[in-house]
Amino acid sequence: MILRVDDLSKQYPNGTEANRGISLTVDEGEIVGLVGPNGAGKTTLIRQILGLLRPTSGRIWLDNIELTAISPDYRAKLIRQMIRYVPQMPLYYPSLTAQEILELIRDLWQCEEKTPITRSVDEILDAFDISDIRHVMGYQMSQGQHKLLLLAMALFHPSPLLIMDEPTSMVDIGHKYLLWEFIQQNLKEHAILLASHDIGEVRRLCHRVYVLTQGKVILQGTPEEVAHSVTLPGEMEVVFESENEVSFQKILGTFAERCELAGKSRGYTHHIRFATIRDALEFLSQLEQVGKLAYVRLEAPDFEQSLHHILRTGIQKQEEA
Amino acid sequence: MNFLRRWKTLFIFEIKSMRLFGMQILISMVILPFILLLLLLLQPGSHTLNQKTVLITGYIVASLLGVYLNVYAITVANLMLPEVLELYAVLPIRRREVIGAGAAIYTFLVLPQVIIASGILLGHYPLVAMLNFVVSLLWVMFSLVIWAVWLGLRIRYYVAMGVLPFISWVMLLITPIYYDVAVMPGWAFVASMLNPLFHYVLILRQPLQVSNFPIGLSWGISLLFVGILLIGIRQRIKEMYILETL
Repeated sequence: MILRVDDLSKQYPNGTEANRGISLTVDEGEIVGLVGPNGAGKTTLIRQILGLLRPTSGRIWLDNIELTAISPDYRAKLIRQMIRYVPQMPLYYPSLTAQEILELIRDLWQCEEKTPITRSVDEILDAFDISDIRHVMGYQMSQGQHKLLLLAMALFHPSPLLIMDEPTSMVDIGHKYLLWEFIQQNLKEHAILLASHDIGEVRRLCHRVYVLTQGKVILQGTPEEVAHSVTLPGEMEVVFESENEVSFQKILGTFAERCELAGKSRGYTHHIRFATIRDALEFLSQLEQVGKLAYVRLEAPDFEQSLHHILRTGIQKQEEA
Repeated sequence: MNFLRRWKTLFIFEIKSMRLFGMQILISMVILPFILLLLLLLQPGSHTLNQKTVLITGYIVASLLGVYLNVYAITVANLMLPEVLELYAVLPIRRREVIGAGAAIYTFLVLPQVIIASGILLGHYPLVAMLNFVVSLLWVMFSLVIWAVWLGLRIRYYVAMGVLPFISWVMLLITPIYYDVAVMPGWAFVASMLNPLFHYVLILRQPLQVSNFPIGLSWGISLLFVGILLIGIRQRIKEMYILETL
């Protein structure tokens, strides 16, 4: 196991509890997502892992070494060796070009480890499709380009654990896809902790997801498990071509407690909101037995909607508590 | 060899990082102090050796102050931004190395004008006095670097950009920078006892016999300052959970 966080808490001197008993693991070859609203404790957690904030309680293991129990110098060295990090802020060196920054990182890594880095600057610029900013100074780049360059810096010389805090925010869609493919193809054996507000990104990349609100993990599992952990209403638009409207109304009547009309029916077109998708499917199945369905559009809640519901109810519950 | 290569990389990085701010650095470090010196040298009655020495030593200290407190300290403060600390926690660069490389680069940049200014005095004073002057100069430079690092590590970046030029201005105000300490107003003299710049000017002038001020006091105070600041710097750099205190 590359990273293990056990019952980690952080209380600031002003009494604010940023993290409350967070436990998580990230294994080799695994991409683990951290999702939650702003202020949920994601950045605090990352700063604790990076050794910049002292945990109030709890423990962190990096490659089975307990970070909270070793000397500060060894901890700093271990973190530097084991972790690459892509910060949330689009940091940049205003006077340096993309090529100069990558050359600097390459040279410093070579001095640090006394071993040549196999990947060339050209290779990494090409991999992220940022060769066009090779000679562009930092102050002339867009924020999305800053983020891409930070990713390139982190992935120039990968280490076992990659931590990314909103890596593709401000990045255009083309480069997003390119980056996702790069991660999926080239970092298969790495452990990745990904904090993101881009739910599509989390669903596409992550093997497991931790949902955080107000410093607590309120849910964890695969993206599918998270999506299926709540039952949300599904909306249906149905055109029922039958002269037997009575049959339609009769079936609808049997679902009275599990659905409601979502809008005014026009002719044979009905808009119905079901308590669950399962109910909607059952309704359709019964309709098919008595007539012909001319048109059906079923809107099922997606991962993002499920997550939004989980977060909203999670916050409400915590506030009530 | 690896050590030299590493420092060479850091120097190149620092120099390239300054490119965009070249004009700002040139104006702050060279042009403004030089124009002031020129104006003073053009004043009638500023041609005795004693007066020239006062002006040139003042010019050297003002230049060093401009470089270290107005520019270098701000780059140190930038290093303490939480997002920069996050990034550097995982990059093969240590905070102390960046701070050290910055001090070396800014010293390298300010050195030519310090050497030229000192060169004007050469030939007017005995060799022993000049050697003492060089030792004093090195001490003053070292002390100002220590002040700059301490201030940079203690003051938040965005505050530092406004506060450090103000601090420099106050320090200059209560220092006999372009005049002899003997003509310093009484109120300023009292206030200047805690002003490190006051003592640095006197330390620099003492080998050239310009000042009659008891120099042992200035050396003592400056040594005390540096000792305390070094302890503070060491603690700050060694702090692992550094965001706790920001």
